[in-house]
Amino acid sequence: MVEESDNPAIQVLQLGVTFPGCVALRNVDLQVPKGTVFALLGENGAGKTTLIRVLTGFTQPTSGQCNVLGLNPVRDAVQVRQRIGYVSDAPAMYDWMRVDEIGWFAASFYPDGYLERYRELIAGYEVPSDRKIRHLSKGQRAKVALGLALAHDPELLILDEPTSGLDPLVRREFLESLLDRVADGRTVLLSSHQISEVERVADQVAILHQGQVRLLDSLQNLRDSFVELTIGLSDPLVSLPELESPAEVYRSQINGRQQRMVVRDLSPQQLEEVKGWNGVEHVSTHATSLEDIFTACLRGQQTPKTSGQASAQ
Amino acid sequence: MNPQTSKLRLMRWRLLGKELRQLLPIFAAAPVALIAFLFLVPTIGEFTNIRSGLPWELAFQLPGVVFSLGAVGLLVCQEKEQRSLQWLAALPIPPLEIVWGKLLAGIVGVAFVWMTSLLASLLLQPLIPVQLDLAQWLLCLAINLYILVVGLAIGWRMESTMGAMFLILVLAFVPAGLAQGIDYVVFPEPNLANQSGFYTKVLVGIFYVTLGIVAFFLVWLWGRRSLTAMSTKNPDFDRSWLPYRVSSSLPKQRHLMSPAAGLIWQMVRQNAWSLMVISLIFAISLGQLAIYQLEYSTQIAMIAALATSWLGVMTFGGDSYKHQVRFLADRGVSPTTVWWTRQLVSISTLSLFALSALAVALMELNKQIEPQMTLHPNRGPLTFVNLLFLLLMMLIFVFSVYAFSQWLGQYFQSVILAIVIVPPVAISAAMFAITLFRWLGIDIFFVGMLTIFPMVGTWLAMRAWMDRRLGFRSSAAQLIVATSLVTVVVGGLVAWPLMKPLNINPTIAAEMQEFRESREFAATLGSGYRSTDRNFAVAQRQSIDEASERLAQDFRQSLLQEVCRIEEDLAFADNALDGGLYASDGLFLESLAELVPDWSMEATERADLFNRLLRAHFQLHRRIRQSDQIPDQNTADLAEIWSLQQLMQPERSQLVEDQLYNEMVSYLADDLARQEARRRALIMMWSELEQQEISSWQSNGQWVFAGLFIPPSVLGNSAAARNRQHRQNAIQLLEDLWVLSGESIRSQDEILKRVAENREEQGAHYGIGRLGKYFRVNDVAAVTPSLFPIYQGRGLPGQQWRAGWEEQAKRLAKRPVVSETPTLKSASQGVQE
Repeated sequence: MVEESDNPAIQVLQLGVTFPGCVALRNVDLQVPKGTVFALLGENGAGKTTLIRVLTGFTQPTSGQCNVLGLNPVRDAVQVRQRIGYVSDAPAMYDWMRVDEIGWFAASFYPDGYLERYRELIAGYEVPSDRKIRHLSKGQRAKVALGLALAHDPELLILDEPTSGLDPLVRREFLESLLDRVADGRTVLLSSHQISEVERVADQVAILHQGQVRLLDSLQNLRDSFVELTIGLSDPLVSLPELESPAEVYRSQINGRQQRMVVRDLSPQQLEEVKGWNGVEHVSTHATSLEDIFTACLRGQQTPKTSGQASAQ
Repeated sequence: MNPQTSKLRLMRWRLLGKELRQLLPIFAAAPVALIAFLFLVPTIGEFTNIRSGLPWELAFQLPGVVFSLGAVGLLVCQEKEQRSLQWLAALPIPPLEIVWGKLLAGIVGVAFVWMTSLLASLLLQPLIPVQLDLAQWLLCLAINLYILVVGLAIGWRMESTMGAMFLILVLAFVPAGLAQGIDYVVFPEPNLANQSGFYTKVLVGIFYVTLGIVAFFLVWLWGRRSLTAMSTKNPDFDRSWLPYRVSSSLPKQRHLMSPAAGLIWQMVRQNAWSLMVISLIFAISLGQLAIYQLEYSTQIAMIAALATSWLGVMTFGGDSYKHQVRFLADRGVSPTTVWWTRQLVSISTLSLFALSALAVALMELNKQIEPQMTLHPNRGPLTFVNLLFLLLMMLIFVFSVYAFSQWLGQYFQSVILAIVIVPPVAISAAMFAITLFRWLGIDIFFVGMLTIFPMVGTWLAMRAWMDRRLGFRSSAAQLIVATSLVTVVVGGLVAWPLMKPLNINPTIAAEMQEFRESREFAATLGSGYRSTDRNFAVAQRQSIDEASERLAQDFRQSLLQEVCRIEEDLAFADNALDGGLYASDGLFLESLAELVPDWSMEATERADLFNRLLRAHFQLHRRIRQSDQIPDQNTADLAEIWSLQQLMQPERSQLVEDQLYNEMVSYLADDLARQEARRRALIMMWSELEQQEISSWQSNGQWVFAGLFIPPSVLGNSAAARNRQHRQNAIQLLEDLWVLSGESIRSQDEILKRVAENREEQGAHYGIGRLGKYFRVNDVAAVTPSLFPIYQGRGLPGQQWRAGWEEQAKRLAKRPVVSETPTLKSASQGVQE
């Protein structure tokens, strides 16, 4: 028998969302284990916000299934939203209310203790509590939205571009607070363009590209499995053979007599083979950052190709 | 041409084009408003006793007002709301070009709508009498321009869109109010100087123009200011950059609320200004109702309907603004709770107004009732049913306007568009509901759907609305509501043929009018029966009592005693008689006359008694003939046929004295006089028909449409429609009887068939009388039994008209006598004198 605590916080199976004239998501499969920070990365229009809207019950999927905290967000959207904390990319707030007033109003919908925690958070963010929302700056509004989403200590926090508009200090504090939450067994689903920040807090990363999951793994695995190869060539016109499986080339770039490749799962033996290829003068390897991997995923070929095909192009 | 000048000109044209394109929705809303108000005016008139001088001109004036309000919303408020004004201000365009571009587009639009209204009123003039001269039309244009300019000034100045719209509406009345105030101060009492209202109109014009010029200046000032520099008067802006100090202001301690209480608080706080202004408009309309009573009820109803519609828009509009409702959606607040808390606030406000309006209306009605004990001269006493009906109509109107508005308001993402477009559409829908119920007799259940389904529709659409997924194509709730409305529309279309006006044949109407005018019946028509007063003077009663004692020695004497009573009755006054009241007397006289020849008595005594009976009977039916009721004409017909039968039997006619015989022959042969009496009764019937109200509780017939019986399950107990059908049948019968009563008979067989078919109708309306067994007397000699039994039933209207006995009566020959006999015509004159 599987304990509830063993179930993933979010489970998505073959999810598809189609809008008129546009396929937003295609056969998306992912699982977000409890007690982790899960980062959704992708370029503009990749489908991140659509996926979050499906998970929060704002958009109905065209195909597939999803499960959030054991609930179906299509059927049980209201219950899902009550249990999670959600900050959308453009948080909606009653801008005629004052900062403290909106917390007091939101406390009507949550268990006891909400208002106290909200006031603590707002004080920590240094947002004037007596000011109307409409008179706040963009960053202050973002802080209020975060305060409102965090005050009921939700099991799952879904954040769509949460740090947009926040100043570096608050951003740092906020990200650290996410780690504290995860340490307490809470789960965070994060969508962001700030890859360096994600890299600092994320346990798992999914990269979406054109509505599909391009890459899904833990951050540690990604760091371990990706490597950047810099190959010095004797002749710019030399043609290199393809890398055999299990190595996958995510990006290949030729610059004069130098070829740079972002490769996944490159074994030491394959590295030795590369060094022995005709026309290769020297080979060096570098650790890749998440940003390198992200760029390689999006700017590389549509499908992982071997080095020979890459160089031919 | 200087390239700079050319570029500036191009830019101006493009700006104007953009503004005009922006106004397109409101151009569409103006004709809808016209139709809505054209529906509203006569319907309100139906309820408020206005039979002439309906304020049709209002319907043609209001589209301009709607357009002006809408133009302000779309040109300034919406641009501010969508922040497109910021982008526009960032372009290299001189700020004043933007300000003047918007003003010019508004003026062009107002002029266009005003011109269209003017043309529409001219085109519809044959159907709708609009009492507006050129000066009033120009004043109307000035008012529209004033609202536009004032609106633009406020739009530039104010932050809140809804607040701006409400304020414009209030300011629209300011010049008129000032003019009225001055007029009241200068002329506290009505006199010749201000009787025509000339000075007031001039003052109104002056105030609108003067204040319009001031507003024009403010448009320039505030428009330029809002496009060139940001206001820093708000203290919050001054300290917005300062670091927050925790100790500066401690949070206010508040009691935590339940979700429902919190939502109600949020709804009330969010819409506090709107609620206050709407309540103010309601209060103004109630005040007008109390002051002007029902005189300006159409205007009052329009203002109240507008406020009701805005209340409906406000129900979801406040949350739709900037999609603020997403705040609740993000937190998983139950859509049902959100729905009912919104409805609770709005419906409470509306109910409060409805109850207050009802109380004021009842107080006003009570004032009218006391002197005359009638709601309306033609409507009978104010009964519980009338009150219930009035209340029902009011509730249907108010709540259907509200229900439609909140439904449409939920679909509008722009509050401004909703404020402008929703009221005309919702009022049209409500008028449609009222029309269905009031005029076409659609069951209240179907009309109720017009109120209930929009409410159910918004409830079903709540989650989609909160999640911003609401769309016209995909919403199931939308489909359900639309299907329901189509059902009602289909019901309305089925009943639409019954909507035709109750017209009488123009030829017959002209003949009737000519008859009426030539005989000067107008003065005597409408008085009803003038029955004999049976309370004799004491002296007369004593003499009769003594005679009765003497005569009541045996059965024969007791019969004679009754004859004596009838004679005394008839001698009391020479007026028209109600055949129904004297049917039993006629029956008694005829029965006795039938028996007399068989009685054993002396010949002179028998002849004397027979003549006595015949004379009494003659006097009786001659005066019944004078009645202006169709049933009495029937009774007179039957009595005359009996008299004719007596005169045509030799053994009986020889008993009749010569003078009486000749009098009766002359009378029975006077077909022209008989025709005149019948026509007089027909005109009376038409007068009653003209005055009769069709009410939903007055019918007991069936509803037949296109020859098919429509069961209640299809369209309900459509009593009003059936009543309408009956009334049309009555008019058809009237036309047929008119033809039958004339000298020339057109298509007699067909008419007789129709008249006969009429008895299939169970209902008896409009003075036609209850229906009895149908038969016609072609040959009097062939009629053996007495005709009296059918007196009781009063017979089918006109059943003996032109049957043939009239011709037989003409052929009877007079006996040679000396004196002139009175005719029916001379008797009629005597009655009138």
